[in-house]
Amino acid sequence: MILLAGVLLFACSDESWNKHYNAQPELVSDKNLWTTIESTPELSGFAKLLKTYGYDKVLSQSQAYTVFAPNNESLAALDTSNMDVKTELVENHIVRFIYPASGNKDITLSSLNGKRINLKYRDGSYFYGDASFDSPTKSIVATNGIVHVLKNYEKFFSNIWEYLDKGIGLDSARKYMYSFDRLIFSELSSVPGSVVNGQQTYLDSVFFNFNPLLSSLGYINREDSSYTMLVPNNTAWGNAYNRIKDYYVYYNANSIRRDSLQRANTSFALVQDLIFNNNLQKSIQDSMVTTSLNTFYTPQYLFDGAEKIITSNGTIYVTNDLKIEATDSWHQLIKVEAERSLGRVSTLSTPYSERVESGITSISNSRYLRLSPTTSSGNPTVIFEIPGTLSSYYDIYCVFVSPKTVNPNATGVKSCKVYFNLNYLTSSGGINSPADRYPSTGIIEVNPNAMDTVLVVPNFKFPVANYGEKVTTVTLKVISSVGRTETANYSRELLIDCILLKPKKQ
Amino acid sequence: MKNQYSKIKVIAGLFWMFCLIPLQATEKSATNAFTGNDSTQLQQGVTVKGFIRDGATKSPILGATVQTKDQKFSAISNEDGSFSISIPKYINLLYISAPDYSLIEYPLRGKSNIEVSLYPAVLPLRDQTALTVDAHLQSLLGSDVRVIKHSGAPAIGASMFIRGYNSLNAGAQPLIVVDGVIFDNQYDRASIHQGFILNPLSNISPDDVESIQVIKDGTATYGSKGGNGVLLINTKRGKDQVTKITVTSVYGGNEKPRSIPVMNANQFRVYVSDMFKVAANGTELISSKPFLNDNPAYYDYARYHNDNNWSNDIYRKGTTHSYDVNVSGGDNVALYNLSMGYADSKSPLISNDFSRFKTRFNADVNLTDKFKFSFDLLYSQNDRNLRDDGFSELPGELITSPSALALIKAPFLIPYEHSNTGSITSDLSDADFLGIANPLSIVNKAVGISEQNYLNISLRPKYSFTKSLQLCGLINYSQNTLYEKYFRPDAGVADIILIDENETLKSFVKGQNTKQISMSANIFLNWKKQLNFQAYDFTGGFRFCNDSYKGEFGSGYNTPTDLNPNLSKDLKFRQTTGYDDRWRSFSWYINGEYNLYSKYFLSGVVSADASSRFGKEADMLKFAGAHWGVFPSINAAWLVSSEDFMSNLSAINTLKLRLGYGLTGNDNMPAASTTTYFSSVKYINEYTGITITNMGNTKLKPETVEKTNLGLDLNMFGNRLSVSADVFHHVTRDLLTLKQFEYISGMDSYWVNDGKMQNNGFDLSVNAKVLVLKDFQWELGGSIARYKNKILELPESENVNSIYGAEIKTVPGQPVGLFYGYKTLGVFATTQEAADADLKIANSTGLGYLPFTAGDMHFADLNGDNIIDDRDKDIIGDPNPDFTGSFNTQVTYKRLSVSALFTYSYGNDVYNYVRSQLEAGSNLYNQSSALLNRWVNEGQITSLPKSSYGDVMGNGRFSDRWIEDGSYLRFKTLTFSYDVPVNFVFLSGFTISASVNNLLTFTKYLGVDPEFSVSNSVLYQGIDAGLLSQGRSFFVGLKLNL
Repeated sequence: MILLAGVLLFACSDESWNKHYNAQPELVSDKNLWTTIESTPELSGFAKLLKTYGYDKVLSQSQAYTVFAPNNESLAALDTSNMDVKTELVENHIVRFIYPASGNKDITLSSLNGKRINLKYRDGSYFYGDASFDSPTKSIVATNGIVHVLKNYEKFFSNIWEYLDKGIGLDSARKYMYSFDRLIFSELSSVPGSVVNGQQTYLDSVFFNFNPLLSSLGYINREDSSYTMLVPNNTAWGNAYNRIKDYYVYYNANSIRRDSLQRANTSFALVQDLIFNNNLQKSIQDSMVTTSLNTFYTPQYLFDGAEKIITSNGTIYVTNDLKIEATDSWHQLIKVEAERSLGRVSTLSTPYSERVESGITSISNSRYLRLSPTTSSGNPTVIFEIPGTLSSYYDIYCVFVSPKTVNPNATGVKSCKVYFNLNYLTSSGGINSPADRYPSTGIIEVNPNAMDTVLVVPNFKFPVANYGEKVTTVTLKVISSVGRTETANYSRELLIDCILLKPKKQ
Repeated sequence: MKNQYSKIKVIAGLFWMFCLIPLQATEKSATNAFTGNDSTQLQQGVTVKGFIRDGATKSPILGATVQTKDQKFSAISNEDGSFSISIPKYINLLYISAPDYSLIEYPLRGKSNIEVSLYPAVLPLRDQTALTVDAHLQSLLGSDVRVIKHSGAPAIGASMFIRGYNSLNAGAQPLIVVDGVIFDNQYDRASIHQGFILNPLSNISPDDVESIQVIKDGTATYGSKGGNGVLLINTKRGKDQVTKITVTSVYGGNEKPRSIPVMNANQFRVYVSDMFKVAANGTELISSKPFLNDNPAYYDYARYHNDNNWSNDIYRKGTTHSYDVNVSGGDNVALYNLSMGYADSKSPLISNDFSRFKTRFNADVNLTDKFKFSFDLLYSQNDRNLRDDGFSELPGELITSPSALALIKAPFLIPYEHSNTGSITSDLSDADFLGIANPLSIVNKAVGISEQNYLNISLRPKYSFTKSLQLCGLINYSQNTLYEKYFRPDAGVADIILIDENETLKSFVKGQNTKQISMSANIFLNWKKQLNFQAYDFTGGFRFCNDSYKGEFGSGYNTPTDLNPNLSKDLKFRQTTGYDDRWRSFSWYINGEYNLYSKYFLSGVVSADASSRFGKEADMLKFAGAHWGVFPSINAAWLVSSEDFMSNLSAINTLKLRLGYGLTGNDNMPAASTTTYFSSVKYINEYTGITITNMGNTKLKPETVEKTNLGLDLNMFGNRLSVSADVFHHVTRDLLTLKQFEYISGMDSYWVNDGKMQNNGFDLSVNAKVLVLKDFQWELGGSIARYKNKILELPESENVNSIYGAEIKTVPGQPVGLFYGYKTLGVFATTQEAADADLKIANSTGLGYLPFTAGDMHFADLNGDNIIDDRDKDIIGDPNPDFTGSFNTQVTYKRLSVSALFTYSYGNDVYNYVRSQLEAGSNLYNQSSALLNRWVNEGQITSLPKSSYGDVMGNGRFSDRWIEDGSYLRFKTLTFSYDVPVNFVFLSGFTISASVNNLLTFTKYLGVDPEFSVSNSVLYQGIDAGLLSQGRSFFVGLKLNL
């Protein structure tokens, strides 16, 4: 009787337990994503592709995925012959995690091929990228995720990096840029095993891809940023290469080394200003800054006549003619700050690196070199190393500081008298001897009342490039030349701001 | 005080009223009453003749005893069942008994020729499986005491409430009196083990218990200690000179209890890989997670590709065995009862074990006719092996409870390491990639000890000056020592990194040693006299109790190794505390009982109590330098069935009406709450100083519980149906409550007497001998109790406590401890539904809002502002039951007895904290399998919202999602018992028995066990923290009589 009362009172004792804790068939499918897709007739085409590329196994595993499965109709007309189907079709339609089509969504998903594709709601339909689907009638919940049935397939977009690989006529650029790909072993991420014969073995060796070129020019191989890239086609590459290589003529006893230096630096000069980070451009009409931080003003001319290609992480402009000016890019002003002690040798004098008071802007880096004679009779000299010279033309200047610039109240300032010696590597591999003297005769008197930028030598062409070399072979020597009798009118003290090598347009 | 005096006047008035009414009512017969001594009464008495037979077989009973209540007059029945007894005329009640038959009270109602049927006594079968008295109580007392077992851990004890909650904060557990000695059950002491509640009552073996009585009403005998009701436990004593040896042995096993179904490895992997959507923020990171690498060639594949049911690793088949030897006997000088026993129980949870050795010696010595004394000795030692049990009260705390870990730990892992080749080794693995500890490592490498030693010595001298006047004493000494140790190992448990301190916490050790010494003396004078038709019984005396409770606690982190789990000076973040509490109480009492014609009963008690815990400026009676609480009570009863006018109602054997009114108290305020004191603190971990810790309230006094009781006892149909019913009205005044200090004080709260609470209700028990045949008897009984608790006043407008993430609200006009939170209206199935409701919450900055969308919970917006916040909270549940009680039935066929006990509770709400941890879907813990039904896609109609790492929308907040109906009906015990008839040399008989506990439970509750109590505190009732559930258990027992 009591039992009966209990049964009546709590009739659904186990029922409520089971109802709560058991999977409810109307909510929870007994099929996983693969078996769901396999058993859906309108997805038979996509199912076939999944199986071909092993995704039947992936989608049968207990990990959460959302599959945006194009229906048979949408795949009917698709020509897959020139397509990497696995990456461009299958993986393009699968994302990790469970994303229902619900609410006014506008989110970015990462597909298995690494693409960032938007899931959004517009006017009663949901869109995966550009492919639409209805929700919820065409969504199927499986044990390990959701299948959304797409009316169209979502087109695959290469990123810039991938496009370089497959774009027609871009072999030269691709070959150069891809040549930097490395596989790096990560000891930190790897799991060490036992030591065998004194060697550490690893249970799990972790490698990752690394491209040092892209780490300096921008990760055009990633999907999480956006770039514009000017890509010279093979013709443009060839022309540009030929144009640039004269700037990088080297001397090396080893001709292979010499050519390789020229090739490497020429190629890098060629690509260094091809990539623009779209997130950093303030006004593309006015100017654009490359990832090497060189600025191109009114840059439209660079893109004129180029073919525009949309990629998943930006835009490529394939050009037949690379119009980058040398002086905007690789052939740039060289400035050697005199106050820097590295690469500077002085005689008969004490060098001081002096800071100017704030507010004086005419002195670069706000510092200059004061070379005070150490003896009453000696004329100081100072030699500056000039690194990074190309085998091209420069106007060479030396900028003298006026004592009045430093101290406007200075009185009795005296001019100094100087001449210069220029040393460089000749095409035969030796330093020119004797050094070139500038002016070849006579002395230059420096204006003591204002900053004086003295043109040492105009339009000078170095026979070989020193750019990227370990040893700097170009030096400029400044020699004070005040006679014993002239000290009343001239100063032996030298105040030098910097040495400038202005590139000359060819 | 004024109030109390006026009550005393009322009581005095009632006293005289009750005295006069029966006197007037019986004036007629009193005028014919006898005077002089007993012999003259007898000469003018009556002779009652009668016939006693077996109610089942109708055959006459030889040797039945017919007695008056005071046993002055008695007769024995002859072979033909007839007897004849001469008694004074005023006697109207005979007590008739015979060996193996139930005693009955027979009202004469003027008859001189009676026929009496006696029915074979059906002795209740003792719950052999109970290791402690509290568990035993449940089967014995029915609805008299609401006994809620704390958990399924052996001898863990129970929360006990008599007639609702008579106190709010001062403890609502009944006073326990063992053999007349007040027993401190240390309700306000805490164990250092999570999920374990200290239970000094486990020192007393149910094997030694002779009887248990409950004082539910307002009898003031225990004055300021009896406000929550009293349990009187009497242990076995020597009864006669025949030497009896009883050997009892019980052996049993516990099934692995039911646990909440959790997701399996595949289901969890899907869940957790989806949670990484936010948790790991992206695809690239997740692909490097080793547990998602499904390539079988992967070196660590084996570790992460198992399907493990963790509950199998930490649960087992439990075993219980107990042995008891009881020897009683003696001679005409002394009677004794000696028992020794050992009990051992290994619960179904690994490392949750209990063992007890005890010996008890009770002796009663008659030195002379006038001087007697009793001497009792008990020594008991109980040892436990424990680990943290259930979920911690603080979410986010490092979880070290194996039972909780088994639920939340990733099911694709196993407790053991894999070798490089993928085979399983015997090495236990460390905490996993989510920082969740290895429960088996905690089982094997942690230490959890709780040991109690209890010694009790009592001496009870008694000197009889005359037959009527006795001087009695009871002097008692008891010592209870506790040793506890807790060690959390480094191995298998995640480190805790303290960024601010630049420290890593690895292992943790804590220890506690306490010693309580209680001394008490109770000296009283008793005078009783039967004068004609009136009987007097007066007792007056005093009771003195002196307690000291000393102890210390120490803890620290980072032991040198797991093999050295000890406290030492080198530990990090050491903490030590010590305490030395002493308290004394003194009580004067006088108890008077009077009856007239054995029909009208009146008793009154007054006690005056002083205690060192009372404030020095308390508003109480001041006398002899102390403050006294005065607690009077009066009880009256009328045995209606003895009235002549009832003589025609032969179906009614006895009918008694009872009325009582009394004041009792609750002096259980913290020992030093009336004292202002300082304690030492460490400032920036460097310098020692003292700071004010407590501002004593010198006006503090005990709570007063006013109890009014109206009761009825009825026996009918030849005593085959008995009914006992009571209605009561209790009001507790001067509630001991905590009041907040102003924040400028720098202190938290202090104790005050403020507030008022009432409990109204009834209890009813019915017992029927349904069938009484020669070889077959069937008894059926049932009980029901109801209380309605209501707060009448509080010092503050409401009292909200945060307990286990819930808000427990106590507010005037409502019962104690209501669940206060959000109401839910289901889950938004579609975007449209969510849009229609247009609800939102403030975002983390508080400046913007986040809307609820499809898949979120639909919380009721009670104030209609479309924002779900604190203002939308409401009462969502009441843990107080509508009814509680039990049913029992017993069938006896010849020597075979079968008994069944059912217990039930109806209408109580439960906060299922376990489910709130397992179904929030907001973290990387494994979840209950209900999460399979979580909302995943637009349009799904389900009750479980979408999973969401971090629970931004608060779908898992404290709401009625976690409040459930905790009603249940439990088939508590089924016992078979068979008396084997033997008489072999020294063996005079043996009984074999078998029983099943927790056979069936009918409930809609979604936790594993609807019966649990995480604490003795009133405010913690109805909160299921996932302590070990009471699974089904099977026992066989053997009792030898030598």
